[in-house]
Amino acid sequence: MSEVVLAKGVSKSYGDFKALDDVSFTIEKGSIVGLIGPNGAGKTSALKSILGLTEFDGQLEVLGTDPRKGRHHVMERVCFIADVGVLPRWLKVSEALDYIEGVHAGFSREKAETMLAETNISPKQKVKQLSKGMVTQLHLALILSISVDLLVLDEPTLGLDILYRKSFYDQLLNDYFDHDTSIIISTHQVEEIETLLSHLLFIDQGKIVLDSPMDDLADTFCEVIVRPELTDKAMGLNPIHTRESLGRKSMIFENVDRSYLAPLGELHVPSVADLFVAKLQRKPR
Amino acid sequence: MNKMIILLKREIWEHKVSFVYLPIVVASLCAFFVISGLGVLQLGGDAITIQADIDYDNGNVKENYDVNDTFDSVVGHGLREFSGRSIQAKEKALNSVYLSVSAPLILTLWLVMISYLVMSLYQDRKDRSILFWKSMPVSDFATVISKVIAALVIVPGIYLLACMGLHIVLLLVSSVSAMGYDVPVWSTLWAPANIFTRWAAMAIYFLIVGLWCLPFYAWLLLVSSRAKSVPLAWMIGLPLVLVLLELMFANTTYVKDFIGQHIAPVSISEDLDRGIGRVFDRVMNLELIVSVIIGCVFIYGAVIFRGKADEL
Repeated sequence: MSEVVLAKGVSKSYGDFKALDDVSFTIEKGSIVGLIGPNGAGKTSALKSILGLTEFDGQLEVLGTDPRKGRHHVMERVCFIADVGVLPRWLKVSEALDYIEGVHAGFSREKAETMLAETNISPKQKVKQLSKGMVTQLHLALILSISVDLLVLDEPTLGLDILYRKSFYDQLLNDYFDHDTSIIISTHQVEEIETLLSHLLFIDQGKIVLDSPMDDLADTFCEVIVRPELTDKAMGLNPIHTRESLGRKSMIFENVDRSYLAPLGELHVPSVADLFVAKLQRKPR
Repeated sequence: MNKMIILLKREIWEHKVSFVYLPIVVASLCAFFVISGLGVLQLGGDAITIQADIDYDNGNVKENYDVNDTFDSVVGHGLREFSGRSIQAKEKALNSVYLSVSAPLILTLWLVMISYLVMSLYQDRKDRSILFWKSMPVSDFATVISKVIAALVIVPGIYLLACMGLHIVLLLVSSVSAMGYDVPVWSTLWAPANIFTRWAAMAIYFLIVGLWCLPFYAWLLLVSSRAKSVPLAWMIGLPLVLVLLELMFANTTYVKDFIGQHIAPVSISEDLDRGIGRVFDRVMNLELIVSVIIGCVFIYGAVIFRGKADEL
């Protein structure tokens, strides 16, 4: 089985508000997927559906089973970090280790202790005695010591300063990722994760607006710094996004052959952040 | 099973103060008051005896004043008098004594239960740690049941241990005191105390109280699993509305009476005072079965709400 998540026509409404509107996508084994969208786009609803934390309509399979059958079954093979600040403040580090060891068959205490030994966190400390950065390190050490098939990170670095955000993702890649595990990261801070993703999912107003492997982006999208005299000609090729910087027009084209674009000016692969803006602006908001 | 043990440990870790330290402190305070009370009586007894003699003679010290009398303090006198009573009278008196010294612990346990249960499924939603707990392969049913088991078995068990410790202190202190007055220790204090039967009865008492109060305890869990804010207001408000509605439309007080009966273990505690056998009569009682059923319905509701629960 190569699909870790298989979603077909998944919808989720809160009253009249459609958080997810007939969403379909697949997540392949071993991929690192960026689920990217503005606030309220449906990212958290999508992740909560995958994790069995909420009800939804449609067909969804996570590792071959329907998450509606029970969150606790899902959690045997899937782990998630909703936010690194959520460890209970009264919990001692040693108690956290005892607890996870007691409830999770896939937990390696040895691995967690090794990771913690590299930090300033002592087993006797309580979470409330740790700085926010240390809580992040602790949560990450705990979760990364659990061997699962899918790791879901929902805005994992929200509220952390840049130093910890960087080391968070470094640690994630170096200590954890081994191509057997798939990772879904949702964030609206695209720049941070751009380099580690293997697949992109853009979501806006409950719909998937882009579903593409990172490697295909260069084939599909092209950014052109257009020469001023060729602006009209470039506009004729129907760019999905135009922006002006330092007096020069830069346009992003989707599925336009490079042979048409090359004469217009300098060609680039657009950054994920620019692509994000382009794809979302096209839709009337 | 192993998972449940770690879930119960989790409850104790979180509530170490009210589950472990508080009963030790309350029991120590009780022991302190018992010992110092006995001490005051014993030391002050001489003065009281002399005082009494002086008063009796309108301020004039009796000429045939016997010095040995003054050492027969209130305690010594009382113990000697007590020693002469029938075994039934001794048992009855000691029952009251042991129950009264345990009363502060029983009351503390009840208050701890209320504050524990009403916050148990609320606090982690409020501080968002529910997102951590829910990332673990522990079912919502197991989570809620672990709190029920903690409330019905584990915490009463710890408080029972505190009561037992207090009883032992009481027994030892009174024995030392009795030996000082040459009162037979075994027949006066140990045999009528029925210490092991008493502990067994108290253990059963705590279990039955848990089931008797289950509608109340489970109601607290239900409120705790659902309330978006101020669970305490829901805990009191909704039953109050029910009572008032019943009074207005049916002009009956069944709900009020039921709540009054099951909110606190008063009537069962009176049974414990009247004798151990009375407590057992409660086991096969229809009202107890009804209590358990209502409690289970509320617990089921709490499990459902916990499943849908999210951070607040």
